Amino acid sequence: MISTIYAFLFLYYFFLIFSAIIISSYIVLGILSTFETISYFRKNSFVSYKSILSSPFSPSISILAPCYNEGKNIVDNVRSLMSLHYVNYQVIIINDGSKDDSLEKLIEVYNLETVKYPINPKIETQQIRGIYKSKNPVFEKLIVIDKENGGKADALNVGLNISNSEYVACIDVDCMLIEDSLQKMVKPFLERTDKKVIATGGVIRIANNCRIENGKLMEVKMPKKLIERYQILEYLRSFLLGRMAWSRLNGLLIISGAFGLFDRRIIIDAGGYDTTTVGEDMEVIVRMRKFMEDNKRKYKVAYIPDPLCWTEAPDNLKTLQLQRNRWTRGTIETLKKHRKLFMNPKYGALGMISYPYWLVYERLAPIIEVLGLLYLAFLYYIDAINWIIALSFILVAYLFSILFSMTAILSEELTYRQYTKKGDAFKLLGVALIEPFTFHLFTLYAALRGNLDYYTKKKGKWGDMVRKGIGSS
Amino acid sequence: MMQAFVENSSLTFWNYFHSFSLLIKVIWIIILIEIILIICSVIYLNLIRKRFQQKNQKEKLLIEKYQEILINYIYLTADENEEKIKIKKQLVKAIKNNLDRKVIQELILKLHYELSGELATFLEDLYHDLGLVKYSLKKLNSSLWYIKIKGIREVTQMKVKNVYTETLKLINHENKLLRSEAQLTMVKLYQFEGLKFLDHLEFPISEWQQIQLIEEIQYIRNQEIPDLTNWIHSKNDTVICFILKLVHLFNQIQLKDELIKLVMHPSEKVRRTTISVLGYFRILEAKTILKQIFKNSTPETQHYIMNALSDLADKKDVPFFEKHINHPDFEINQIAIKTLKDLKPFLLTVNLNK
Repeated sequence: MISTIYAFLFLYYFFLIFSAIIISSYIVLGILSTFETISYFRKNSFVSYKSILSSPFSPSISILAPCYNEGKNIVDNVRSLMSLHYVNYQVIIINDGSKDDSLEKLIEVYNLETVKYPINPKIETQQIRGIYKSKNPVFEKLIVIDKENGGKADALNVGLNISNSEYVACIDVDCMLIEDSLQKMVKPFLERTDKKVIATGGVIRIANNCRIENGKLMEVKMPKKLIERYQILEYLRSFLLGRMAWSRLNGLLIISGAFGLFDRRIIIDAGGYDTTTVGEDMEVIVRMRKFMEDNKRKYKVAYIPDPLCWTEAPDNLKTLQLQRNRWTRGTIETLKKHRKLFMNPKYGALGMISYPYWLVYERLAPIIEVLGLLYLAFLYYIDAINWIIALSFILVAYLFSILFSMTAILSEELTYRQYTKKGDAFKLLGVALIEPFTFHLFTLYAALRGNLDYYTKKKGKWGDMVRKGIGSS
Repeated sequence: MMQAFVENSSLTFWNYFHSFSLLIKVIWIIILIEIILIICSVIYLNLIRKRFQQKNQKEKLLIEKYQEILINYIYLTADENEEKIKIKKQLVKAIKNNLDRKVIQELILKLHYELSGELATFLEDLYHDLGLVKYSLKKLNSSLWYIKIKGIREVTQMKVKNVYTETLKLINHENKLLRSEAQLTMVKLYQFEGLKFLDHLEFPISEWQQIQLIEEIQYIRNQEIPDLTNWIHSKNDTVICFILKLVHLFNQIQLKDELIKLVMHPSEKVRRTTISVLGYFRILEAKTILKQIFKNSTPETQHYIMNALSDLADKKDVPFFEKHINHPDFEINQIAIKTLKDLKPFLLTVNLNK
């Protein structure tokens, strides 16, 4: 009997302390991020990007865009990538064994022909079927590679082997980049003199319902569907509050696979992308950081909050669930693969702060949350709930969630103000009020399914997600 | 009676609250704080959105009004002096109001940026005549870095040249953006003479800043290029790299002896930049030393050396490149193969001899 009481007390204090730490860390991250974002915004308003546009000393960049069954939008997407404002860049499209007419369309529209091209075999990849360049000098900076299907990571590795630029921008081909995105992303690499910047990540914004013409963002509009609005709020919180703070602490463990700029030599020396994980975007950053730590080199993973990359978010529960499932499995795989880092003082902040935080508050949080709910249900079953305490805790958590979302909305309003129409901010506020009882429960379910699928070895590939194509709505 | 009810109710509430455990009390205080913060955030959100819309509307009207006046002013001919004086008087009166002054100042700067020649000079004169320089200088003396930057930009654009001392003081400011802006101002206003700031520089110049400075310097016309030798020996490695880029840009090939010495510089960054410049200038005397240092250099520096040697290659170098066609580093063996292909006639001879 006494041991049962102790067990209950242990669980009670465990959940209490866990919640207190998570709330405190969110407060710290929120405050840090808000100040950092506003400070960046102010500083950036004085930066001129004019010089980098035409300078012969601008570093070279290769855009690596893997494509799998993107026939519907591939021509427009490539056109959009080729019209970025930067002086020294090339676009490498890697057709990852598409089953549709993606390659044929590219060959026809861009007047492509096969060429011989030197390939660095440093990273092992699936076989390359052919390399194409345009006969038309207008499309000189375009290279198309056709290869056997091997997944997104494998396609990016082919791009890394082909590129000879100083930096590589790894993107999702269906993402829409703002014209000055490369100038902004390359800046952190060029302005640090005390540390080597190994990668820069940018904010990903949701393009659903936005007006897009010829691959260019013309008007930002709030989506009509609730599921899309939930994700807007979620992305604002994640990118403007979470990652900005981690960047400040130099503890960023992930750069979104949709758009990131990397030092090519470092990413290759670290071994390129891991083809065995579905979370290759997180894994590569952890590995690059580990590589730098092992080599005792001072480094930084930078992050900029400008809205540079717009992407299509899932607009139905099934696709959303698949996406979240994949994210969860990716996190588990990465953390498991690099478990040596955990509380390892040799890896400094990476091992002592970033890794443990991700393990507990990203990897284990959904499981702990579900255990908490089961604990509550059990207490209810044995009629041992102190309702005043229980409801008070629920209320604290609920109000905190609204407050955190409000901070993200205010941060957006004070800086980039993308949603300018009357009532937009209040629509997001409305979403914040209902999210904890709706969308959050759904993402919790998806995370659990991800765990289950990971342990039952069910796998989904990156090409599984059905996209409508941004601008088509 | 009402007062008694209220007093009783609040008494009951406090009694009830005090009956809770300390934990519950703390939680309810947190809840109260959260509610207050949420309400404040919503009010603040509403306020900033309204203020933004109002400010936008008001500014839009002022911009339309003054844009018309200013465009009218710059296109007035010399014999419409009376009209000019009338407009100036109107503007002098308007700049007493802070918002009007801000709009006029921004409009003059914007138009000046877009125009050139005589029209731009009209705007510079107008800026001086309206006394707006005084406000720019005031900003330059502000204690806030971002106001200082605004001031420094305004004086630079309006070619206010008596700010040399003030600007020089800022080149080592602890705020990176401010010191970068000061360095740019030195070059924009005082051209090659302004490069003297390099003698006083205590901070490194980032690659980004070097690109910005070079972009300004390359448009300097009708001025003799200064002697860059002293800066090549600077204690600040980034100054050397920056000067090496200027050496490249202005084809200062007469500095080749100094450049060859720099190949042995302790900073790897300096060595790499030097090697690129040597290759660009095709300085054949550098070949021997480049081959000597190749083996003990880092892989990245080896790429620079190979590229430079490729630019300098002739038939005597065939054995060197042949030695590297199977180098484990892909980039090095590719440069070796490419160079040998370029030297094909010689290569054929060698092969035939073999």
